[in-house]
Amino acid sequence: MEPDLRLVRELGEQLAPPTGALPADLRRRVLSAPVRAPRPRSWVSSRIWQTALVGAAAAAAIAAITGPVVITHSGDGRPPPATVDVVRLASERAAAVPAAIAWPDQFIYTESVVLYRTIDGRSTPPADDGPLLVREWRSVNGTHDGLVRERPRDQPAAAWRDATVAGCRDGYQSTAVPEWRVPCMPDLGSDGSLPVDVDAMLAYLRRSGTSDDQAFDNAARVLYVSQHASAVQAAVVAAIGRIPGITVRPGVVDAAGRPGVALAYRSRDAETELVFDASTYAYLGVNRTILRRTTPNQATEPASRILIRQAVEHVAIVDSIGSVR
Amino acid sequence: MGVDAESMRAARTDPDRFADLYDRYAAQLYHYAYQRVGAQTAEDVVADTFLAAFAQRDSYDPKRLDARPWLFGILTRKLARHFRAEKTHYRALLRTPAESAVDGHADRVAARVAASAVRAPLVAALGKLSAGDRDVLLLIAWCDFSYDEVARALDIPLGTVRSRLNRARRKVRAVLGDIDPTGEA
Repeated sequence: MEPDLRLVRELGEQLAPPTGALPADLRRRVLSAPVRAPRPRSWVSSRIWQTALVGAAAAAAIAAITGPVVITHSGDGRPPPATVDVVRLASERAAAVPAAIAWPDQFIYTESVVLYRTIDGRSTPPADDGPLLVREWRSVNGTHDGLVRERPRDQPAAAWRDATVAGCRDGYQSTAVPEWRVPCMPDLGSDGSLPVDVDAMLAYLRRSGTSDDQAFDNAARVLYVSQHASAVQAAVVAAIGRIPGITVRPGVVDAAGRPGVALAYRSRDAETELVFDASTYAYLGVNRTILRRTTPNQATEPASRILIRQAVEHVAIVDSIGSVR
Repeated sequence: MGVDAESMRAARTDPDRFADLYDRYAAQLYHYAYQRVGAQTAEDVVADTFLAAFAQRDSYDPKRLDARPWLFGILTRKLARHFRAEKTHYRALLRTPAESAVDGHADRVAARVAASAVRAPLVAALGKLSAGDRDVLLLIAWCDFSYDEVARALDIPLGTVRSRLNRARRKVRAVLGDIDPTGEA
């Protein structure tokens, strides 16, 4: 197959359904006698109308999601802890973890449970995708090709879906087609430059702008990629506490069902909970709700409410892809 | 008479036999629709496709031994009615600031991408193709259709399949060439 068609095919593989399973309700919709009967014209029309009237639907959808988007609140009647306390405890916990030694040619292995839920406001039930078991090997110095594997967590016999994450070497990374290399930037933290001082970390989080949204987004990313680096973890948690608008959510649950307390932030586009263990304050993962999408032409449009929950269950420094301990 | 033609013939008098066709092709149709418009719309489009196929069972040409091109033709016409959803899908596939906060897994598509720098212009190029050119390109690249099967699915001459494919590939290559730092493509 020609290189351009191979890239189009590869894109298609990336966009394929994750499990290969058909929607549970599809067969009934198609094959049950009442459904096979001709549908009223008005039903069909209303669906077309729904997709055509993007502007109006957008307004309605925004209205529907402007209230608090509660992901995992349970509440136990106790007063929520103060933000400053959660930040302090989580930062102290991170600092107390022995630092892992990671050599440049090693990999950071992260195992997590990921759950996607799409709520589009229609009468149909939310569409769940997952829980997926995700295993990721990320090059410590960013130059080696990494790997992401995922499969349904409750289907141990299911085939893994693999995706190579091309390493960034000399400013370029390879693609599926050898002739095509593309410019790249080293992955976050792969050059060992993440700050361990709180002031420096806050400046780092605001390096691309002063907005609190961006600083929090950057912090969430740093928190994820630095789980092997306790000093960085301690600094970023402390820095999060200095971002205006951070709130505490007690009684949250992560994607693996573990109880936690969250440092939360809501921007115009998304609401994010960084979840910490309710007892030890160890970082557990993230719950995120996408509220709006920003398109490449900078226009914004409402998304279906997309809930993304990722629970980190294991992190290790390993010598090679495939190793988990 | 082929297996598919027999199923369609039998479904005229025994609607339950239509399940044979569903079982043979539902996964393929859903896979393709999911790729093009995402999960929610894909389910609707595939359901509508089979309902339309069932409604046309009396007029199914028994000489059409393989129903796959015919079903994908119906699916393509259904997808055309969801062109806005497809455009939105393509836009959503481009990495956005809202999705960059969490690790790549949060944006599942990005997590699968071997070279995201290629994906963005590729997705953008697909979104800018005419519907007819895109249908031909994706049936061939994503569904392994032959030119003849594409012609039958879309009810267009073989020459039109070739010209549409050439045009689509030319536009895709132009986009990829723009980002190719090696100049070797």
